Amino acid sequence: MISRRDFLSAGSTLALGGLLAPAARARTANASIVIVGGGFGGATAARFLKRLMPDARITLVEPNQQYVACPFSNLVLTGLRSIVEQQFSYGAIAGEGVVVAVDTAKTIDPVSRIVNLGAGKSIYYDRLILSPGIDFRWDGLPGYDSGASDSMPHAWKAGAQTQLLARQLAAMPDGGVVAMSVTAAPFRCPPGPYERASLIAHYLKQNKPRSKLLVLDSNSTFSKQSLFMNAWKNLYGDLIEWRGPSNDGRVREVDPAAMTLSTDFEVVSADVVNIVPPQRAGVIAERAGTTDQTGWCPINAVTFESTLQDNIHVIGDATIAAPMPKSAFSANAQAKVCAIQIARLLNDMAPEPTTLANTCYSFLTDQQAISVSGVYSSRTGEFTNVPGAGGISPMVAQGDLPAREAAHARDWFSAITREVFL
Amino acid sequence: MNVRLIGSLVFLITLMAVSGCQSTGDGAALFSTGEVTQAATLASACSGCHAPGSQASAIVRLDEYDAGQLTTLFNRYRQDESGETAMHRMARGYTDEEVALIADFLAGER
Repeated sequence: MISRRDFLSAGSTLALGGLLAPAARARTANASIVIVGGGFGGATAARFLKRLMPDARITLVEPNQQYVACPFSNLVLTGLRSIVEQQFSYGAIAGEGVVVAVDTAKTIDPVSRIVNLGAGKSIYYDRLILSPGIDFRWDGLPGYDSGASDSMPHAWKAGAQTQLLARQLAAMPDGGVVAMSVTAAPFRCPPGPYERASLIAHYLKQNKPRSKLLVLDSNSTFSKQSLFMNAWKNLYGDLIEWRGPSNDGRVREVDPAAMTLSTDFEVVSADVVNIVPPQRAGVIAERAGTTDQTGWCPINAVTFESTLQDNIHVIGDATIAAPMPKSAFSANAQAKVCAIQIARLLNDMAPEPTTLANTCYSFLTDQQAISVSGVYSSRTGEFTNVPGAGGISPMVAQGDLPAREAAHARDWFSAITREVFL
Repeated sequence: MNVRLIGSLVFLITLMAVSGCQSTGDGAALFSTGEVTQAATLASACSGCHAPGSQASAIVRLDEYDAGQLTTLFNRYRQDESGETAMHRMARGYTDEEVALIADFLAGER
């Protein structure tokens, strides 16, 4: 539970202009803030809003009883980690006073400021935060619908799909072919497909060395490309074959019954097929009128308020926030800034631009990782890279840097999940 | 390993020795003071990796440092031109003023 002692003592020293004064706090006492989506973005926002405004009503709407984290789930695919280590409950968040509604937001009325949960249930909001993550465009790749993901898993939302792909990889005989199809950017976790390729290759090399991994990519360039390509050559030789769009790598259609993928000039058969499908913002974002023609949500980078709907803020993978990537790190960082800006707005304080950061670690083996970092300013109302900062791990690392970055990655997962869920 | 890195490590070990490198148990619940300043907003980027009370061993724990130590530590990363970790790459994106705000805020949160 949160002690309010610090808050009250802070409120009595009004010389510090950034602290919420008692009068301002009283005004927020009746405020209702609803957060839709309990991933790294929404769960963080709910928790921090409750801390900033203990007397406001903070409601987190999330259909699942437990969260299954995507970061590190590529380790689960290849038996290096248990799915249990990816699972988190909302108990600690509820324990801090957030109302956790295990329910689905079906529609949103931005005029009346109502979130409809179906069955006659609805919630009024003064401010709404949408953190709906991604949904798949099931019409975006011919042959690939939700039924097809039973035989050709996407494993791009962690959980049953992760376990299905793990079982398929484990059951495949030595000498088999694994094929991955990577959709054109933007998609959740830009380096994710390539970390996955690295770890599948690591598994095959150790357990099924006569097998082959074919990566069919709709992107000609990708995150940490030089580092991945170099690592694949050095660690896995010709076990991985990567084909970009200029080398007939773009998958045009799949046939889940035949287990084939069609490019412009070839029909590829594989024993295990993993599809990283075309994506868009979670469907509730479109129903709330916060998506544009791209299927993603344009926002004001200072407040994360939708540029299309007043009083609705959008954070995380659903947003158009480039150069900030669609990552758990970004969603968590954005959520905290969004919570502070909402607290300022509800207390008649002007929002303030700031500086945010992101790092994405990717495993190359069970013991080695690389990273990409960025620092971003919101001063122009859109995110821009802060010059001179950010970048990727060195191509020729000094000493044991890849092992140290793997340790950093493990510490990061431990810290962020502690901050959000524990 | 270059001289700068060794310098950073020696400095870190010194800081740890000074602080006794003790666990703070659960750690303070970050942002429970209701502060919504520029400093709080900037510092909110830190806790995703440096969560108070975390059992981190590879990522530096910030729990026990005062503002002066935090500023010195941050500047070591910022000014080490050959530094290769994610923290080196991120530290380069912050100004003197921002570093001071972040250090003061994090030190005051405990």
